[in-house]
Amino acid sequence: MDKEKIKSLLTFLIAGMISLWFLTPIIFITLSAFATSKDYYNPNYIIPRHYTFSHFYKLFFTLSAGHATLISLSVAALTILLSFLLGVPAGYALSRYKFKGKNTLKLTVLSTRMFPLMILAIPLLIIFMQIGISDTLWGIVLAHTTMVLPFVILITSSIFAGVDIAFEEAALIFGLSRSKAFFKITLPLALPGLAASAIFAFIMSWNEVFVASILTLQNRTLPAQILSTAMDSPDYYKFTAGFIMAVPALVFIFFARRYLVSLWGISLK
Amino acid sequence: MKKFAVIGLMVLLVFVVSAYAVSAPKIYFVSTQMHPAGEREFMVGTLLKSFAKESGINVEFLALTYNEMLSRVSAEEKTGKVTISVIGDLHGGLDVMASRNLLQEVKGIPLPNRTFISTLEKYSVIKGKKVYVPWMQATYVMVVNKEAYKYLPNGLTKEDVRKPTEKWTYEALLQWAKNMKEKTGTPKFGLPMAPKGLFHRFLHGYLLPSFTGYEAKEFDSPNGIKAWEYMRKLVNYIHPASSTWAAMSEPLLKGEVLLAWDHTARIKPAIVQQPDKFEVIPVPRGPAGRGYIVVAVGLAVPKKAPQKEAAYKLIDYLTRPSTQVLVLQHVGFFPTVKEATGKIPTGALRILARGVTAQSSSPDSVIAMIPNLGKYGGEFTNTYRKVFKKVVLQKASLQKEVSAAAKLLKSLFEKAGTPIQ
Repeated sequence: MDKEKIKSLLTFLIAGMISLWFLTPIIFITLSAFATSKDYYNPNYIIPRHYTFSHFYKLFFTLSAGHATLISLSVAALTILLSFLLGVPAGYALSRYKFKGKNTLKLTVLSTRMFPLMILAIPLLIIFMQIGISDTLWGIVLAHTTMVLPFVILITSSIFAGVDIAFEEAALIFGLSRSKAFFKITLPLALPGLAASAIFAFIMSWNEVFVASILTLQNRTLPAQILSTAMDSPDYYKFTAGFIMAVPALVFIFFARRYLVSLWGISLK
Repeated sequence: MKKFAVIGLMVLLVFVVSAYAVSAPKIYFVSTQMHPAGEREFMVGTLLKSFAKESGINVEFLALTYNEMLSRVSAEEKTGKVTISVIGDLHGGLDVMASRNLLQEVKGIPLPNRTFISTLEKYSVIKGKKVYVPWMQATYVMVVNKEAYKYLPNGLTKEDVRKPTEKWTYEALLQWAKNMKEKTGTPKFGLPMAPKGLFHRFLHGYLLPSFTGYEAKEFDSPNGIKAWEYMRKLVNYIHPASSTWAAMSEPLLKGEVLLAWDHTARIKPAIVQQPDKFEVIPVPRGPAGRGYIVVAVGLAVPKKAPQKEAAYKLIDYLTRPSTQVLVLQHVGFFPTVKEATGKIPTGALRILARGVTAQSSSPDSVIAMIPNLGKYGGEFTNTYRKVFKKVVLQKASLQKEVSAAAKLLKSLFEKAGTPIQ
């Protein structure tokens, strides 16, 4: 009995410390984002006493971070959609079928990550300009999909490998078609892993600056729109920009989290 | 089914935004300057708004880092589909773009009723080609927390420093920094030595010109050696966290340092925040004079830029004396046209303008310009940082390092086809 108590106390303590570890920066970002500049620089108190919306208003409305947030959200959503449309079938094929050159293919998929985006950026921009999608939403989506796709393929293939093929075979025996067996049996079981790779894809697209900055002039994503400004501004603006960047990502993860049991699909069984 | 609802919502959002994202025609003005939130807001909300009212031309102001801008401009030039009409950047960056043949010559743009300051005008002509129109200028100065005056060395007064007189020398700075360390317990003098800081400008534009009269020409000379010996002494009184500071306004505001050197734009936030606490003072002088850099920011037009007439109108508007005074008043960048110089703004920036004016009107000035080295510019500044690291921090042999660096610097100027300065 006592042992149990100590155990649960320890669990709480460790869980509490981990939460604190992750929450403290977020709390400080939020406090500093809305602190008046005078309070922010006052060395006498850690927690500011006076708050203002003016930094937020300047970044979000005057410097159009709000509009950029919408663009960033749609780019991330479309990136997830597109990379899933292409990546999930590929991942499924890699995990379920044996075919010649499978390992080579797996490696080739990763090789697109061998080149830093910096180097690819100018040729990419030139191609995009030639086909006329350089300053469009779809242009950034394509670039981000290219960046995210290898990860989606590899993660989903290991997720599907974790779903026992016996379930699928049983479904086929009981009369489901191949596609129905996938949608009714395999997909629900793989959902946690898919949620994890969706979060991954979202974060990668959400945080990407360089390509988004040079591909667009009009439809700029959030980091392209405010990152360089924030980095050159006084500290409290950096926190405000951090707040604007972090909150939508946190909200997204909060919702996607429900499907997330474990990354890499380890606890599926 | 909920999943599908979520996906449906996402798709809807995308379509709403894509419809919203379709844009109205306007000209694009990319800039590596005026990025900080307050400055950018002034640019977009005040300057460009009044320009749009006057001319009917809408300008989209885009804050890009130099690498992003160079990639974009190069790609546009290669495909021939140029969308950017005006570029605002530092002299050094425009120099590189000009060397890659990305910019058109900006001679003959109608700019009535203004006279550009002759040094800047001359400087904007690179290899016989007028590359940009001088837009704004800045410099690097020192900021002192008034508390630091308590620790002034014997024989040096506040007035000597403010004016500046012959007594405000690098030796006096050393003594001052030493006093601060000894009396407060920690070093209180700071330099922006972080990789993104502008410490290299201190070395090539302030220290060496003050000791030798030139940035690179007399690098390997008795006085050049003295400059590095001086740094070996000074480094003991520099705040050790300097290697993490890219801009000095934050450590000044937090009281970590009482005396600092940095770019005017990078100390401005401290002055605006607490104007009663700080003063801007000229830099000290060395045996050869008071060396300091004048930084020029220019406006250029890409080759094949669309709507050139509109671009010229924007350049005309931004270099007009009345606009330049507004920029000084709100942003702290100094005018490039004679009609607007000498105007001291009101408010906190008055402190900045006073210090800069005192520096630029001191009779022992040795003005250093960042040399036009095109793509060798990075190697040039790196050389100074490397010598500092080896000679001052790692205590390598002084003469050997200096001789090697002097040779390298000479070769950089030769390769770039620029007379050594």
